[in-house]
Amino acid sequence: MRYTVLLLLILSFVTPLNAQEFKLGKINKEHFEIPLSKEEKAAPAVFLNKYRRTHFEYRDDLDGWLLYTTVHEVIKINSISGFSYGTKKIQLFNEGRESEAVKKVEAYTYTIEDNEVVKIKTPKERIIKNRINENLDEVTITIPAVKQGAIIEYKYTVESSYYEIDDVIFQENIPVKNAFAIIESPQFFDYNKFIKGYRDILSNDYVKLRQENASFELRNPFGGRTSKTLTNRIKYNDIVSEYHLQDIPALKEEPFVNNMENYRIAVVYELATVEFKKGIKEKRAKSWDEVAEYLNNPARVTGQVDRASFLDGVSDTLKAKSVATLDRMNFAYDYIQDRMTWDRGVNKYRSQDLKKAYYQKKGTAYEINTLLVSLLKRMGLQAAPVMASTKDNGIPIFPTVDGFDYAIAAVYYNNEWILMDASGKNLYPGLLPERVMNWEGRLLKENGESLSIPLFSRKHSDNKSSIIISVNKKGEMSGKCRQKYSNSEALYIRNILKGEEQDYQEDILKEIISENNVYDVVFELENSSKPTMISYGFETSNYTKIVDDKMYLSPHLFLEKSENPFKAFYRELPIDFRYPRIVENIITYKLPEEYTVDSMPEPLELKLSGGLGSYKIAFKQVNGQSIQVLSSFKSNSTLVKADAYNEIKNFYEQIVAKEKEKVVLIKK
Amino acid sequence: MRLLFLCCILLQSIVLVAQNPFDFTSSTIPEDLRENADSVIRDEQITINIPDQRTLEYSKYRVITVFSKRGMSDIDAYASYDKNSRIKTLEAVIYDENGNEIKKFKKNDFIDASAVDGGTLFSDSRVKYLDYTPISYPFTIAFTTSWVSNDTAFIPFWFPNSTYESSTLKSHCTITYTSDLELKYKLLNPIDQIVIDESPGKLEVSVENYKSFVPESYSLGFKNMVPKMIFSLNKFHLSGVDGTATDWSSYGKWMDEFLLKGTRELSQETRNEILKLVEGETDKIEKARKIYEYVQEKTRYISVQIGIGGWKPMLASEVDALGYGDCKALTNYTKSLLEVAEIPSYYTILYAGNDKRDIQPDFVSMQGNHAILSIPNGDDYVWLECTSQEIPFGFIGNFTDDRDVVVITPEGGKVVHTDVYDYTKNTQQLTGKCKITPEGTLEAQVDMLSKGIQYNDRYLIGDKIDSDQKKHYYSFWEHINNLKIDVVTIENNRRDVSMKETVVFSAENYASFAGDEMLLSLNALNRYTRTPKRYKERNLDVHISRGFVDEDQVEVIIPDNYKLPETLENVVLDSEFGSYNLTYEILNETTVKYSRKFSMYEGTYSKDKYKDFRSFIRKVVRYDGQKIALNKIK
Repeated sequence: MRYTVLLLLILSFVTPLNAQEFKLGKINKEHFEIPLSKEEKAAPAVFLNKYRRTHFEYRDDLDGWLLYTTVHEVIKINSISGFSYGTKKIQLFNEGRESEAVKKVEAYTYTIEDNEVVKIKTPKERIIKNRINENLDEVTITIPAVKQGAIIEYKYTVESSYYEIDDVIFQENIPVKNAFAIIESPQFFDYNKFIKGYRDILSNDYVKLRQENASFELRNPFGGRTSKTLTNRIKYNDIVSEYHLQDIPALKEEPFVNNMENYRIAVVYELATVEFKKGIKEKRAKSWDEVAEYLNNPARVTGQVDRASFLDGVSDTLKAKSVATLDRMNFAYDYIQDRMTWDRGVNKYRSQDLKKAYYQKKGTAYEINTLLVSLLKRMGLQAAPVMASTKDNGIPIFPTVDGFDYAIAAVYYNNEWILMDASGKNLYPGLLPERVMNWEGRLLKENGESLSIPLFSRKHSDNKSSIIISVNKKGEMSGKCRQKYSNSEALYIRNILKGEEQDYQEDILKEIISENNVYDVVFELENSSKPTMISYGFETSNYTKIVDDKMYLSPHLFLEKSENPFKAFYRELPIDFRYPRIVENIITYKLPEEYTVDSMPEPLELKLSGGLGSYKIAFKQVNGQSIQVLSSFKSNSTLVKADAYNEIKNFYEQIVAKEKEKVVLIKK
Repeated sequence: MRLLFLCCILLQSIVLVAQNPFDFTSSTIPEDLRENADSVIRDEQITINIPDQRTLEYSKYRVITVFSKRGMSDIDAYASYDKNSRIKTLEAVIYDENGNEIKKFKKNDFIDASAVDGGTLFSDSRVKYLDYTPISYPFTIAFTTSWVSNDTAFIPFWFPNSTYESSTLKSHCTITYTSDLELKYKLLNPIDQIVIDESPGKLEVSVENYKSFVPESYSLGFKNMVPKMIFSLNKFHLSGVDGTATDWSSYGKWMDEFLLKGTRELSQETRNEILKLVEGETDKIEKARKIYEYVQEKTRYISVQIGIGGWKPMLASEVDALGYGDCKALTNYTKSLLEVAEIPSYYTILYAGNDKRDIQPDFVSMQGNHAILSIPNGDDYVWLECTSQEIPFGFIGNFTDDRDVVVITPEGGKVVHTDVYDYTKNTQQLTGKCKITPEGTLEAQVDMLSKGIQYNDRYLIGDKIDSDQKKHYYSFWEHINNLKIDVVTIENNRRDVSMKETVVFSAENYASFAGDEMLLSLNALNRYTRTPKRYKERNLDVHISRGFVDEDQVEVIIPDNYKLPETLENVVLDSEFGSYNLTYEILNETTVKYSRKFSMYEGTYSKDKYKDFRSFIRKVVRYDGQKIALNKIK
């Protein structure tokens, strides 16, 4: 009934089938004359047309469905840097019984010679299949005669026994003039759809009746096969979505973006349910609760947690050491963190083996943190795994099982969940590594419920320096510096320095502050949950300049923010500040007896609207021979909308200019 | 029976004890080898056996201890194979710090992957490698591999270590061969520590207690410094073809005969097209230029691929039809077109890359990783890089300059040196006008003309899209904040091999203020900022690979309400590494003109000169960035 209504709705649409204008092997002069905008002309190449069709076929011989995706792309090459589009690579996955194969590949090049279109076909032997690794093959089409002004086109079909529909990507790194996609799936497959990128994508949805011959083997009462076969005509509906987009600009890379792929215009499909037997829908994923429910299944995450009885011994030992929740949490955390090494593997929740990982002492983040949850629970704590997506994996806005590629652990204490990740040696409960500070995670509760948990850091990370320095009449400085870092800032320092030899650590420090004459360096890096400290003495003459009777002093020394990170004049994508931070510097100068202060920069106070950040600087004369420079920089958020770009750029510009200003001393 | 079995076991264990099994404990490594080392090769045994011209059996046993994650890449636990070779054994055993075995990898645990990658002249098609995540450091890997190949043209080189910061306790290589194949060898960058032992049909080379070295900037590059033993047979086999070469001349003849001959046939149509293209042109070089540009217009470079790779270049007729090829194919294709116009040219083999690596003139073997073309022109050669659509005719840049190469002439192979771009050729002439506003904004217009390697550094900017071009200038003028680029005009003169850039830009807050004074650097447009790193102890010779000369003429106009300093001191620096001259001329009350000439010479200097070199550059950096104070007129 629903379908009839839909059908009626659809009929009232007139579907613009522009893809028809591009028939394989039939590129003519008109296609060469398609007008291009200024941006399109300046790009290395332009997609004149980008066609994609995905549909299913019932294969009686295989007793199942195969998924076919046909791609037909027509590209105009504008410049030499666009030649790379002449080499098209198609990746094919295979894993066990599931596999993909390419069918019907054709590719052509068209050029204009003597006012006529010349067509060159890509020879078969230039379409080469190469095994990349066990699970991945790559077909390379090397299209001939690619030159400036040429049009190339290729069309191929991928046959797949997977039911996952690849992302329907509309935006490329070059402009796309015309994109058309049609996705047809039989009613037995239900997909979730999610739209990515800064553009509305409207689809034209309708249903289409299909018929197929299928033979059914009768099964005997014990499930075995009989020799009887029935052939039936089955009727079913295809659910169709058509997308038609025009003039899609190239995806332009901008700095301070966590993952460009989050912004590429595309429609992402995920298989939600399949109905192999009439009336019985096998759920894959749908809502967040359902995703959680799916993972919470005893066969999956929670089952793995409960079955980890090999942890009983450790659990008893650690439990005996204290009854306090936090103590126990730290014992369990330290134990797993110390024992396990993160292998940087892909963190799919499937095919993970906690026991194997435990005995090999290494595993994926999923394995390590699920082990931690198992241990915590065995020790009587309320603990739960939190499924997460790394920055590299993108944003899992869409309820999806595959959207998660990572897991962390959480402990409920004092009415809140403490998040932790034991996969890094320098982490501690409450601090996550940057790779997983991404959007929201999904906490899987024992009762099958789930909870959304923000993963962006809300805590500020400190970077505080205090320097006491004396300057002699030649402008030479000798100072003592003490720097204190917390949270993510400390993690950064520990990750590069901890466990290294003192010489190496000092070399890195010298590079960071661009000073060579550094001595008495003390690093306090050992205890991860305490702030990281570095203290040292230094001598330098890089920050003063004497002209006649004046001495010009760069008051921020090596702490000066000398460069505005924001250079572009226009911004489209949100700015990723990674985590909130506070930078505070206190520099106290003892001036040479021969000089007195001639002038000091004016103080400055800046505030970003919406409480995004602030900056404050003051120059104080403590007494005749001593001055103090106090500055504090605060940024409060992680992801900031592009609207605020100009204000932020200007904010930084003012800070850079201010910190460049000199203190002028004059001879008495 | 049972007893006998037991006896055997007992016997075996006695043998094991007698052999004094290797101590895999990490702590037994001598302290001096551990210094500055991320890894130590403790025992390496390589045996190569060449029983006949078509068989090479290779086996390697290598024990390496890795001390930190920076040493992970030193493990080198992989074996490659292709249709002419086969891996027989592949195994790795991991030991912890105390020498306990913790894991064993069998052949099937190694990851099999395609080894086809861009930028190689010939390519192994596949590789099996070990992917191991250590659970703690240090750990030790005992890696064993053996393979057999039908190709005897390549005998793997021997070297004491393969990277910086890796030491070697012991490495030993034995080659046994049938004497009539005539094995030759040569030790490059020799050191006394290396022991060579030769007897009929057998060659042994070994080293003990070889200490690591640490990379240092302005040095020759690892491959030009590390000792290396290269081997070759006078009679060898390659891809189904037997070969004989006793010197470069006979090697060239063999190569011409078996790899190049018969690959250059072209259709009559193409021949006619080329003849038409050069019709009326009398000068040989001008003809060649037209043909080269025709190739650039018509083809594109693709990296070696299966089916296209291998030793023989793809047929010229095929390149002609498809419009692409790898370096061998495109070089050979260009040669075939030049032949049509009766211009002789030579297929040329060399090592490409920014580090200048020579073909060994006195040692013939399969060498090189790239092919270019050379056209004899009197006593000289015109060199053509055939894989680029953008590089000008006859210009080879820092990819193939200044090195020994082999040209394959009809009379045989010959070692020749490619063009040298000495510092006088790598010039940048800059003229500019900078205006400073009372608010401290810089408004600049600048013209730059670059040649030689300086042309090489930037000839691709012109083809970049707008935003990438801007990025280039942001980094070129990295020392200027708030850079706002208004106009960029680029004239790439491919015939003269020179590039002219005109850029108009502004930058707010260029000058800073201190009380009533304005502070700024007069030199905004061309500042040398790379101070060489300081080393407690310099260990490697100083090497400046390519020199340059920069000449700047810039007028700086200050705001009316400020006063220029009474005098500005001229600077003259002279050193064996280069010279620096800065002179000021005050044109009027608000205009000062400076002329700057900075030359850096190419060359190699002993390590104790590093301090002087660094001091010279530091001075340049300081004078380039030096600030002046302008007083406000009250």
